[in-house]
Formats: sequence, structure tokens, C-alpha cells
Amino acid sequence: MNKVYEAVNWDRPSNDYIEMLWNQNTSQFWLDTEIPVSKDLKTWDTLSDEEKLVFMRVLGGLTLLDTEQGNVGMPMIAMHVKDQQKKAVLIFQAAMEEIHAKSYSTIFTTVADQSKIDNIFQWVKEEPHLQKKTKWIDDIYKNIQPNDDYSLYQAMVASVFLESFLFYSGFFYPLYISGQGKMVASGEIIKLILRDESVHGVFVGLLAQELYQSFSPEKQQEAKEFVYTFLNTLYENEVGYTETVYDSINLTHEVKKYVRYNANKALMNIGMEPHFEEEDINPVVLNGIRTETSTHDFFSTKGKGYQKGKVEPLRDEDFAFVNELVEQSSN
Amino acid sequence: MMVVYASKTGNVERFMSKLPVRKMKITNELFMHEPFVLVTYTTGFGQVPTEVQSFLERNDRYLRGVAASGNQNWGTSYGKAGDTIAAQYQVPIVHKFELSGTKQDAEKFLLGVEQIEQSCFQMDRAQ
Ligand SMILES: Cc1cc2nc3c(=O)[nH]c(=O)nc-3n(C[C@H](O)[C@H](O)[C@H](O)COP(=O)(O)O)c2cc1C
Repeated sequence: MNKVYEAVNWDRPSNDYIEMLWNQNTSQFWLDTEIPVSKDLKTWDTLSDEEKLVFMRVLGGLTLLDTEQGNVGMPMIAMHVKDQQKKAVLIFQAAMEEIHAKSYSTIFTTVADQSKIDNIFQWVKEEPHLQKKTKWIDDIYKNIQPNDDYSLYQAMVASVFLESFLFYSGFFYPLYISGQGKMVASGEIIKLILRDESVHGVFVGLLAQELYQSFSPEKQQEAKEFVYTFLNTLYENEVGYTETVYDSINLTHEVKKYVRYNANKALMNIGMEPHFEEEDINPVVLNGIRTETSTHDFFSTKGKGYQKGKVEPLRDEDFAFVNELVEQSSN
Repeated sequence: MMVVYASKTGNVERFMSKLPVRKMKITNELFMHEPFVLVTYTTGFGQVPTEVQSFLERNDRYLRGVAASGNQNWGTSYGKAGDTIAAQYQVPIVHKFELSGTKQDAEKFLLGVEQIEQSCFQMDRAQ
């Protein structure tokens, strides 16, 4: 018997959320080259040497995670998921991960010379917490067995943990300084990545929940135990990473809170209950996420099936704060 | 007070499942004949879901308040569906929360609904 090859048929959406996720993913498409990172050079010079080092290290760490996600995580999960439309969304997400990974280099190239950049990439290779978490996640991705929903489920959980939880020890710092009007173009890149990762977390989280629902009660119990055990293992490692990176600028305590808050959100993405106590997150970081600059049209949308916000027109006043920030950062 | 909700990826649904209130999920056939509070998610870039828009076009008469789920990673568009509906229909925004909400979110939401219930009751008496 010959195998029959099927073409992806978008005329028949395979479920009630797939088009929404395709549209959102494609509408959010962006390129690092659209963001004028050179504007950040002026505020870069106002950072202390310790601050510069933290900034570069967290971007180095983020590059490693995005590389793993784009080269291994998304493609491996896509390979084992059966539905053609789901595969399509996953592969689009893989491509965005590559854009994320490259965008950190765009920032590096703007603010640092080659030898400093090389040092950071060397640091990434030697930093034990970074290496450990990447290995744990990579092992789970490479352990997916053909036609085995449980190992696929584990990979989906690992993917959501990577994108909705492990990134945040790194995101903290660029958001924290852009919340103070420094490095705002780089902050813009981070916010675009944040928004992409949020959509990825929803999608892969939904796929994980579908598999979970198909498991027997015993298997569900096993899955739940895996989730919380793995979460705690990763959290212990994040604590060590956070101390290593942030102790020199006294932000460790704040970063750990942000990491726990995001671990809870990652759990919600896979339909599980939060694990850590609720805590307030650093208001400067929230400010960094909320700040909009004119460096990138945040409201721009591409592709069909998606309308520009029509309910509330933007007024000039809405941009007052933004203009101020851009002015400050280019003075 | 009846709580009517919309949920696409399950978060609002899970938030609602933890609440001891009378509740109904939005469908195309749902028509309201009593006061209610709406819980919606936020979609697109700060948008009200289409299913919620068309539900409200038919059922704005008894709308008394709105709560919205979202994700703060959307920046200024966080939970904006709630703000938009509150402004458009002149109702209070009861609460905004992230994803499926925390215990505190559930408490704050219930408190907000209670306050609306009380003010509805007072309005009825004044009439
Ligand atoms: C396609 C898509 C677009 C979203 N856009 C926004 C947004 O603009 N603002 C926001 O606060 N949250 C946004 N979110 C997050 C959702 O509002 C949030 O995950 C919510 O809990 C979903 O509720 P549900 O699972 O009940 O559908 C978006 C999520 C998705 C999947």
C-alpha cells in the first residue's frame, strides 16, 4: 500500500482556536531590524560596569534559550504533533524564536565590541545553571517517542516552562531599566518577545491540556507529579542563576519574586493550579512593560482576519509619556 | 447576581469554576432577562471578542458590571476588553485578572459583584 500524502486544508479549521492562534502569531510578526537600537547608545553609557555586565549576561542567557527553542523544541514538537494546522503554527513559532535569538545579537553589536561579545558567549558555555536547564529541557525534547502521547506531553510542558517561566529571570533586567527610561529601544525588543512568548505559551499549553484530558486518571496523576517535580527542580536552579547574575546589583530578591510569579502563570497555561504564594511584582518592571515608545508601531497589524482596534481612538495625549521617554533617552 | 462569561482557551472557564455563583457561558442563543455581570477575556491587541460584542448588542439592557481576564505582558492593552465595555455601556469594571486568576482575584471579584448587587437593590427600592 502506498502512503497517501495530505495537504494542509485551512478551509476546514481543525478546532475552534487554531485560526485565532495562527492570526495572532502572524499579526505579531516583527523583525529586529525594525527597531532603532542605536538610539540606546546614549543611555548605555550611563550604566555602570556592573549593570552593563548584568545586561549582557541576561541577554546571553536568553539567546541560549531561544536557540534551543527555535532549533529543537518547536521543531521536535511539530514533528510529533499529528494535525497539519497545529504543525504550521508550531513551525511559525519556531521561526519567531530564531528572530528572537538573533535580536539579542542586534543589541550586542550595537553596544559592545567583538571581544566583549565573545566573552559573553563564552560565559554562556560555562555558566552551570544555564547549561543545566538547557540540558534538562533538551533531554525531554529528544526523548519524545513516536506515537507516545506521554513523552510528547512532557515535551510540551517543558516548552511552556521554558517560554512562560525560565525566560523571566532574563527579561527582568531589560524591563527594569527601560521602566526607568534607559535602553528603551532594547526594551521594545524585549516586549515584542514577551508578547510572542505569551502566545506560544497559550498554544503549546492548550496542546498539552488536550493530551492531558486524553490520559487515564492514573496517567493524569503521574503527569501532575511530573509537572510539579520538574517545576521545583527548575525553580531551584533559577534561584542559583538569579543569585549569580543579580547579586552584584542587589536585585536578586526582586527577580526571584518575578520568577515565582511567572512560574505560576506557566502552570496556568497548562491548566494547572499556581504553586507559589501571590506576591506583588516590581512596579518598575510593570512600568517597563507598559511603556510604549514611538520606535515601533505596537498597534500595527499584518495579515487578514484581524481588525485594528476600532473602539477607542488613540489621542495625542496618550503618547505624552512616551515622547518624554524617547526624548530623555536620546538626550 | 447571575454571572455570564466567555472563554476561548479555558482560563475564564477555570476562574468561574472556582466561584460559588450562578453562572452561564455565552452562546449565540443566550438572551438575558435579569441583571448580570459579564466576565470576558481579552483578544487580539486589547480587543473585545466578537462573540462578546454580539452578545452585548442583544443583551446590554441588564448588564450591570464587567470583569476581564488578560495578561499583563500585553502592556497597555492588559485586560482592555473590560475597559472598553465599561466605557461603552457605562457600567463599573469589577476586576481585572491574569489568565485563570488567583485566590485573591476570586475574592476581589466576589466582593465587587456583591457591591453591585447592593447598589442594584438600593436602586430598586428608590424606584
Ligand atoms: C490570540 C490572543 C490574543 C490576546 N490578546 C490579549 C490582549 O490584547 N490583552 C490582554 O490582556 N490579554 C491578551 N491575551 C491573553 C488572554 O486574554 C488571556 O490568556 C485570557 O486568560 C484568555 O481567556 P480564556 O482562556 O478564557 O479564553 C491574548 C491571548 C490570545 C490567545
